[in-house]
Amino acid sequence: MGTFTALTEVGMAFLAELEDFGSFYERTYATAYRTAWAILRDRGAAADAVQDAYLAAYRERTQFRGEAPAQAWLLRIVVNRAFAEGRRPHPRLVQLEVAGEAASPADDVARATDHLSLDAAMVVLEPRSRAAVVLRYYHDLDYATIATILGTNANNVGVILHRAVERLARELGRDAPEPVTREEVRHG
Amino acid sequence: MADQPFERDLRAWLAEDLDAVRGPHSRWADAPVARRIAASRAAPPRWRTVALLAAAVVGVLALAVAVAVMPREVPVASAPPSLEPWPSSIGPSATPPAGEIPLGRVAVVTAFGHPALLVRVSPAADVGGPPGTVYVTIGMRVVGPLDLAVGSDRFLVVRGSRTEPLDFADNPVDPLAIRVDAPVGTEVSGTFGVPVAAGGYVALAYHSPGGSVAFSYPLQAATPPPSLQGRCPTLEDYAVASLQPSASPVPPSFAPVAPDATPSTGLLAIGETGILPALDGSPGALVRVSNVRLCDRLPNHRADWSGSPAVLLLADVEIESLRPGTLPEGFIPGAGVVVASYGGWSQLSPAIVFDMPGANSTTTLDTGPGFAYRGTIAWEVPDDDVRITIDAQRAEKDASGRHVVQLSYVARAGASYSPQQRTPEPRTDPAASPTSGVAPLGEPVVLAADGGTMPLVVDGIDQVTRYTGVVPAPPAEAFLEARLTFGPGSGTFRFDPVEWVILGADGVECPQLRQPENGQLPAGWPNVLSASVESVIPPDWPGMPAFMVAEVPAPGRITLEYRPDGGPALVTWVLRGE
Repeated sequence: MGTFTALTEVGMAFLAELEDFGSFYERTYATAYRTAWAILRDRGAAADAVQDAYLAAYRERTQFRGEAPAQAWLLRIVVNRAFAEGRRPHPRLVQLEVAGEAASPADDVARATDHLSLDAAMVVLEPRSRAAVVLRYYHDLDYATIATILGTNANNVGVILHRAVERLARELGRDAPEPVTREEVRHG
Repeated sequence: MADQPFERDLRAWLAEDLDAVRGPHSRWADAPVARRIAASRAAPPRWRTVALLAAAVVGVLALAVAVAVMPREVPVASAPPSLEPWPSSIGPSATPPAGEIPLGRVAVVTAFGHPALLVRVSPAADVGGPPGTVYVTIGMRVVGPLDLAVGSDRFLVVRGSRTEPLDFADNPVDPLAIRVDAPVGTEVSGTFGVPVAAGGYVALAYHSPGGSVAFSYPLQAATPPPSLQGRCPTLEDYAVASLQPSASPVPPSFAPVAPDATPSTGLLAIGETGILPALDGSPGALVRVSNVRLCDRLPNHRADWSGSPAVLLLADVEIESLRPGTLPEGFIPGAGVVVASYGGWSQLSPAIVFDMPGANSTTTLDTGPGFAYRGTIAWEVPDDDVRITIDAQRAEKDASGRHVVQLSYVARAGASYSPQQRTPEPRTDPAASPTSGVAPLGEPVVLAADGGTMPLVVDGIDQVTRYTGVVPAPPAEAFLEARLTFGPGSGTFRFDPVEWVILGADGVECPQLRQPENGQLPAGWPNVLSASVESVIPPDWPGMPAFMVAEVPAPGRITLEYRPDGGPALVTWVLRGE
């Protein structure tokens, strides 16, 4: 899972941490890059987006007030930069890449097939839906935090996720989950 | 809530896939951003407080107003302006131009406070394309460390009140792409055709996502400035403004203030002048908020609050800075110095009101003595009963890091904010019979849904001739909006875009404005539904509205039909006509 476990504290402690921006960068880079990669599905674009995001984070660090979780603060910047990079008129999103430079050739065939299929299915989703999926099912964030990152509300997140998961299931030939419940929408 | 089987697999797949992804710059020492930050630390601290919001507001909003010149109709690019060569040296204090600059002139773009990029737009030979097209060559040259990657998306075609991206569809790759780590001396260029046949003002503008740069090269004609007397602007106001010659914004009209005048605090009456104290307690800045009004919409902008009902709050704002250190550094209309607060809890985002008569997009970092502002500012606000104030902030910050609010004007009296969410109750009986036939506007109909029923109200019919950045394609002459409010219901409703059609009097389907593929709605667009993706509306959907928008001819009957499974119309709404 993501590496933000130690960064869920808010407020002054995080601000102090940001003073050593290099350490902050190294501790959070992998998660930031994975998030951008999951949205863009393009290594070069993801690398660009993440560099832009950290520059923005550096500039904005004095404005971080601690009223939102620190991970949401950084991920919101990363996600927005990934969206912006995705809008750049480059022929990138049509290219399907195999995830992960470090993917092991020893993986069994069935699992590799699943991964390739998941890649293909993820490409079908729009970037906002990809972002919602990775924030929910990789970073394990609740709906309210995802809503903060995507600039929407928890109800919309529920709908976005439901559509996305249903679409992924359809693309992968799996049974779609039941519709999102009221309880989940409200409490994430 | 426990995951379902597919969701568990999805988590596992994502973990296995993404945990293996490393990225090329995991070490700070190798990171391009480290070099960029190091360069910025060595540079004068020009940038500090202008944030990402400035990118959207400054980079784009400034264009429509700032680029106006005296009207003319002859394409400028047909004249042979002199072509300025790339300079052999650039002073470290060179700054970007503002407003219009002549074709052929070299403009400096800065990063980290130093010259980073040269930009030049010059006339190009007609390559035999469609008539009424002006051809220009855009060249860029790297002269210092960049803070962001650059490409053709830095350029916008300003066409009267609209902006649109630069089209380079004939090129397989962006000919203007420059990576953020491009070395000094990197040079790119590309030739583009810009249609100007429709007449009116056309310019090619450069905007910087980083903030302050906004200049443009005029290609043809010219346009507006302001005039709005405390009303919600109409299309006629826009038309009148577009015929007036450009002019600088009118300065504020404050009466002189005595050096020992008492600073203002607390709530002020609308129209009353507020005095913000300087560090020594003497008058440091003057603020006045007047003509506060709530507008359902602008002719080219429909307010949206994350899909919830929203309106636009407009206010005429005047500011004059008298003493240093009084106002927060960095002014963007609607942010920083004068802000709108929702329930005393959250600051509201200023709306991007392209070309609105009375709007003044002036932005600046320096809010010291000499800074003055007068203009109409707009914010998007939820359409509920929560109190909204317009606050004037001082430079100093409180313990939570927020600028100190010295005085406020009540823009909407109302309740304080409560984060408690409503628990919607179903509005339809699960056993109710689905509606069929012609349904009246504004009254709920019952739609069959998975496991129950779903109520739907169609109302909010409105017609506009444009949104920001888009106009109807002939023969259509307007956009017709219909508001669809689903739920809460007792079953899950699946909104399939192909099942919903809007028809003209001749029975021909009207093209619909639908959500872009990337899911990002352009500023000012209504919350339209997706064009291709089925929308699943859960039972407890709390009645947030979405819109269907069609390009329609000027006269005649317009209907909305719901055709489940591609069959005949089950429910019909008459949106216009009899």
